[in-house]
Amino acid sequence: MREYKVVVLGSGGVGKSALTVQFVTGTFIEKYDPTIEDFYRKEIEVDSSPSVLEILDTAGTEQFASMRDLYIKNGQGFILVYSLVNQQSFQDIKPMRDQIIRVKRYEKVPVILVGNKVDLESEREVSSSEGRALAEEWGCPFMETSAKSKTMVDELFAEIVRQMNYAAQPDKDDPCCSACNIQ
Amino acid sequence: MIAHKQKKTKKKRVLSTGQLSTDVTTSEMGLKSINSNSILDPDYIKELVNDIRKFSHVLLYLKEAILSELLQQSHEIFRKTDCFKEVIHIRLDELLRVLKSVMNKHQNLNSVDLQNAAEMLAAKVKAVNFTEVNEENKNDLFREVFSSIETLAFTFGNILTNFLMGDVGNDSLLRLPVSRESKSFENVSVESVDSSSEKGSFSPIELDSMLLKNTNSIELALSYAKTWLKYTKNIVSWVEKKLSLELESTRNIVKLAEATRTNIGLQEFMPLQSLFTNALLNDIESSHLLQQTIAALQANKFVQPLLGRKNEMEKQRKEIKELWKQEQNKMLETETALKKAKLLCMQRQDEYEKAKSSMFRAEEEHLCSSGGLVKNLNRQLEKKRRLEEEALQKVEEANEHYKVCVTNVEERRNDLENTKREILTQLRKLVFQCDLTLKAVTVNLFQMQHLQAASLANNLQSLCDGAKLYDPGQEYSEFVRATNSAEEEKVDGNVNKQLTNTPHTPGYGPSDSLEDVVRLPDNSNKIEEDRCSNSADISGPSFIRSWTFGMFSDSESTGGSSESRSLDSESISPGDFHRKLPRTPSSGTMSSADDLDEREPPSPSEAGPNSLGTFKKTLMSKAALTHKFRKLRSPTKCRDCEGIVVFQGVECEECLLVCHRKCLENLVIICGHQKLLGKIHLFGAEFTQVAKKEPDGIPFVLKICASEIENRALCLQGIYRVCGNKIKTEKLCQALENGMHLVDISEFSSHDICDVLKLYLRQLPEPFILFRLYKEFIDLAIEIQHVNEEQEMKKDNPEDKKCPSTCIEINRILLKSKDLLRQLPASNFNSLHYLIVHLKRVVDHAEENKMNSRNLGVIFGPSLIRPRPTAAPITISSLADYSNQARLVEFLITYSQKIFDGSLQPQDIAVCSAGGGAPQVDQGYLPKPLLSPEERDPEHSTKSLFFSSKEDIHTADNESKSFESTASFEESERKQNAFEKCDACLLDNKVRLLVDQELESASQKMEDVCKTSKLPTLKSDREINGVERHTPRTKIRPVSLPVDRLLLLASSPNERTGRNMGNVNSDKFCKNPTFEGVNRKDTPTIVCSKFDGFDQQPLQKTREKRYEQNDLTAKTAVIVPSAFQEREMSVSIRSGGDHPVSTTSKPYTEPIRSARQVSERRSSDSCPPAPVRAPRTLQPQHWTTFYKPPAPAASGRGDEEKSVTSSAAVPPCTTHAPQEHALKSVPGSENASAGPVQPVSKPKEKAEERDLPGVHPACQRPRLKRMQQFEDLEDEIPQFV
Repeated sequence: MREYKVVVLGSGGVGKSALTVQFVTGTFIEKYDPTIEDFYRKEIEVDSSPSVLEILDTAGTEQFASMRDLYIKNGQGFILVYSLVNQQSFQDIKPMRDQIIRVKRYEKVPVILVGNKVDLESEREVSSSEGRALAEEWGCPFMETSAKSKTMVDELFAEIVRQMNYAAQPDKDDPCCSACNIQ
Repeated sequence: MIAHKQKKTKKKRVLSTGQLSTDVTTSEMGLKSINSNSILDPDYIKELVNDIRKFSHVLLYLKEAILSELLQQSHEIFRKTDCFKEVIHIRLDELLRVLKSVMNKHQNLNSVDLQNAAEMLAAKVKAVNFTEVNEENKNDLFREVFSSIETLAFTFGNILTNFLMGDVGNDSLLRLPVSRESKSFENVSVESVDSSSEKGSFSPIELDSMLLKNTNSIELALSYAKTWLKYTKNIVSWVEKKLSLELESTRNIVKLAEATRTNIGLQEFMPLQSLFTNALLNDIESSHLLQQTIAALQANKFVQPLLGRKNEMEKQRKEIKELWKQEQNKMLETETALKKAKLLCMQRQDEYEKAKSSMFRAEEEHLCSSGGLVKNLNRQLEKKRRLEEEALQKVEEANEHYKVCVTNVEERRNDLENTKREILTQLRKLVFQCDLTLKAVTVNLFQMQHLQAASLANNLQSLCDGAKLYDPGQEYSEFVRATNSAEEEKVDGNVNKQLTNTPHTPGYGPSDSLEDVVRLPDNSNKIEEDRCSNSADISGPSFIRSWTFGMFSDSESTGGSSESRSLDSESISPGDFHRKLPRTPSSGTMSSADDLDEREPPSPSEAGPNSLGTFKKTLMSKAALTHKFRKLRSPTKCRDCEGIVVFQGVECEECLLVCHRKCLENLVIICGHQKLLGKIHLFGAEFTQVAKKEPDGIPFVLKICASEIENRALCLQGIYRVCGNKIKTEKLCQALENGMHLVDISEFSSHDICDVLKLYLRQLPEPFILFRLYKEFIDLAIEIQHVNEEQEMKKDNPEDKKCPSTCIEINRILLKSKDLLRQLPASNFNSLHYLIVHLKRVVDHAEENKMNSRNLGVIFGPSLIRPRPTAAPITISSLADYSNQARLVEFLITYSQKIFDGSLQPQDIAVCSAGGGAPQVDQGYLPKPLLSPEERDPEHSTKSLFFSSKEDIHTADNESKSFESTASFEESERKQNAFEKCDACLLDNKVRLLVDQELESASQKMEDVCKTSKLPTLKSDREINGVERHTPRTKIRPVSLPVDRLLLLASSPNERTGRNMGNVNSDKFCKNPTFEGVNRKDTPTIVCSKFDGFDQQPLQKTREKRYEQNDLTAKTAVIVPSAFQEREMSVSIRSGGDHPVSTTSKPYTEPIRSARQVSERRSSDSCPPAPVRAPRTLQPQHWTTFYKPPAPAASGRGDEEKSVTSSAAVPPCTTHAPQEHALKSVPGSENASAGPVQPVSKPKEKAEERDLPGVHPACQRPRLKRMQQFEDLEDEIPQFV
């Protein structure tokens, strides 16, 4: 059974814990507690192959930025979450991806861009097209989810697994860098 | 197959070029205005960097492709000629495509040079005849390509640096040549070698070869370069002079225009007035624009690049010249050597000849001669022969030498040839590059001037047309009409007038006015003809018009009025005036035109070239409006963006704040009406530095942010958790560093302010909780964790709810934390206190903002407490640290009131800890009740420990409450504390009594003690109230040493209450021995015995325990009051609280008392019963010191013990018994928590504890008063003995 290490990143209060807990337990937590770091395991089946996801739910607040390098190093796939009712969280996400690339020293890290809180459509501050454009720029999938209404949560984790699978077999045609061939 | 491939690629290329051309056209047509802002945008810079990286990659690929293919070419087997070509072309295409996209995206980089270089490269690549590529000539063929690649890279770099250095007027850069580039794309796909047709008459190689033929080629080339330099110099000087002349003239024009405008603006209803005003405005604007252009040209558009290039050329030329000279010299040398060699040869030859001939002669002679002279002749012959041989040798040598020289010369010549060729190439390239630069700057020059002229022409044209349409006499009629209507209406620029006035304007339908309303008089705008025509007509009654026609007329009337207003102030500048013109609806513009804003459509043309920040367009933020700006005199740093301000700067008259014109709308520093201080280093600066500046040690950053958040954001969900806008946060940081208190913080969102606060804390080199205390605090946090867990367990057991053990634990931890906190320097403590109190207030609104103390703990944990940064990388174990830190901060917030005195305001804190030093910190802080309110209640009841019914006890109420909290004691300790407090109080009273009169009778003593103990407590309480300080009885010492606490309590560096404190403490301490002494049947023991009367039994044990500690206390306490004012004094008392000691200490009483007046009083001596007993020996004035002499002479350890126990016993009894109100004053801590009163007594004890210290500081003055009272009392009461 394959094991995947997934890290959920994003700025504070966007819903990382809610997403993770929704996926792992199927419930939506209303608590508004800032995480320091939480760790979950869950078995899922993606494309008819079972796998175990080890999900690291990280702190969004900046004080813990120093920890990020450490778990970026250890993580394989990354879920970058922003809240689409908070423009600033969208802005904060971009440097995180740069940090991932910098730490991994490799551009094609499995990453998914996620806009959370899609149930709060009325308070939306970041449009879908913006998110999509950014995801295109990065070359990664884009989803809008809601931990509260369970929208696209399972699909999200399935997709990150798929991304990690793809990354494990690099595209031979793509001469982007030598690191591609290492895997 | 290959052909098919070729075709395919060709098609691809064609397609791509087709696309490219469309791209080109769209970009040409599109109005991509280059905002100077775009450069400042970090995202933009990122994009730019990405693009540049892409471009360089592609360039590299091309190069690599060529190189790799070349390498592969060497293998005959891999005849990939065609593929090679394809690959190269593909790469080239890619490169060009990327370049195109870059240029389109970043118009600033779009320049002729770049396109030229790209064209050249394309041409070169095309020029390579791939079929000829093989081992030998590949270098030659591709050398050109490589050089053109380099040129392209070089040019790109140039352009980029130019762009990054400049920020003005880039839009003028060249869209024209884009079409040329598209042409080149098409050419690439065409299989024709046609490079030269685009470039010029000769290809570079041809040029070189031509020159080579010429022997003087290098000199010629160098001389050409020299001429070029001179020529360029002339041009540059011409341009410079012209520019400066123009600049001057524009300045004059501006002045003139301003003056004239003010003049004619004053007049109303004048014909063509608006037109002329417009013209003047146009003049002004164009002049400004021109100034900018000139500046740009002078800077990086013309002069500088050219000069730079010139210098470079100069340098290189010189180098080349040198090189050439050297080569020539070498050549000459070799040639001379050759000549010499030749000469030598000839010489040798001659000599040889000579030698030969002489030899022959000698031989002949020899032959002819007969025997006699044979010997001589032989000898001569031999000599000659030898000479001949030598000469021959020499000749041969010389010949060889000559040959060598010849070869040398040949070599040299070859070298020279090569060098010549190289130099020629170099020179050619140099000249070429210089030409490039010259071309670029020339284009810039003329382009900019053209733009200028064009706009000017347009304006003039429109003005002309406007003038043509004027109807003579119109204005007069309007004037007449206006005077009629003006009588009815007030003319004050009110918008409403417009509605009423429109009917009064015959000749203009409402539609006209509406149209005019919409018009904007921008100098760069092409005022459309119909509008122009209307404008002329409308230029009638300016008042009416002002409301009728939006900004245009507003500029007249309000302009007039504002001008008259502004004329009063000397600092009128175009900025001031324009400020009042609502160019675009913005919050920064003056409100006089606000109502006109709506009618003004945002003009797209405003975003055009004139967005370069001309005066008219100055937008000002709220904060900027508070300043009075004038033109900047000298280059300074902008307070807003921190860039250098040279041209576009304004300066405030009052505070001398400097900033860019374009930063005015972002300025957040308000005018302080006095000189603005320089930028301070705030974020990341040493905390001590910042703290020094403030009287209470709290950085103003904290205060500003905290107060702002409390004002507006307490109910904001996610406060402190959600991040703010990074840019805004940085801006606020910068503004705070520049403007400190004067920052207009209302512009920033609450989350930004939170960010700033957190950032400040995170960037402190050392957090509030010092590194050296880190370990201890973390240990504390771990203890807290245990307690929490216990509490969790206990929650399940309802009957245990009342179990005080957790409370005990908590109290213990509280005490410990207070202890630890006490060790912080004053400013750290104050700031921490301030912050925690603020956070508590946030937590109070947790319902709305969802940030409870646990959440805030998580967030602020690492900011407030972190370990010393080590080189060790962060590990997972540091996670545990985070949770501990969070727990600690959560604890601090939750129990903030108990740890700090919640009611304290920062200034109080300052006062409290003004004394500095650890002990003072205690004193600053009233131990607030740690217990929850319900726990406090029993306290109240237990307060009436042994205080008589004095009303002042009420005051003690507060005190007691505050005293309640400190305890994180174990039960026994609490009791001890209570006892001590009780003792202290009693002692206090005792001393007074004794000192006053000799209170001999035990009962009376006791009574009195009760009273006095109450009274001083009360007094001290009052005092404390006044001071807002309660002696931190428990804070100081770790849990295990309540004695220390007392000591520390006694140590009272607080200047204000120092004396009192010390006295109180010492009193209290004195009391202890007194108590103890009391039990010893000395008069002091009476005090205790009074307590003895109460239930001592249960307390005996605890008493004993406490006694020990008290003993210590007594001993140590005695130290302070010694005359030596050192702890050594305690030694005497330590010797067991011996009576002899106490007696001996008696004489110390007086000096000690006086010593007590010094604030440095450590543990006050517990007054031994003995002195108490013999008060009469002491002079009344000694009271003032309230020094209680050391342990009662009579009382030994046992006494003390007993007294302790008795006093311990007394409290509970007395608590219950007589005086409830007394209890109040002595916060029940006097209760040596007897059995039933167990839970109650604890608070009592605590209260007592707290009271004791509280009493201490209060002391002097109230004591004096009390003394009087006591004296009165004692008159009635029989004295103890």
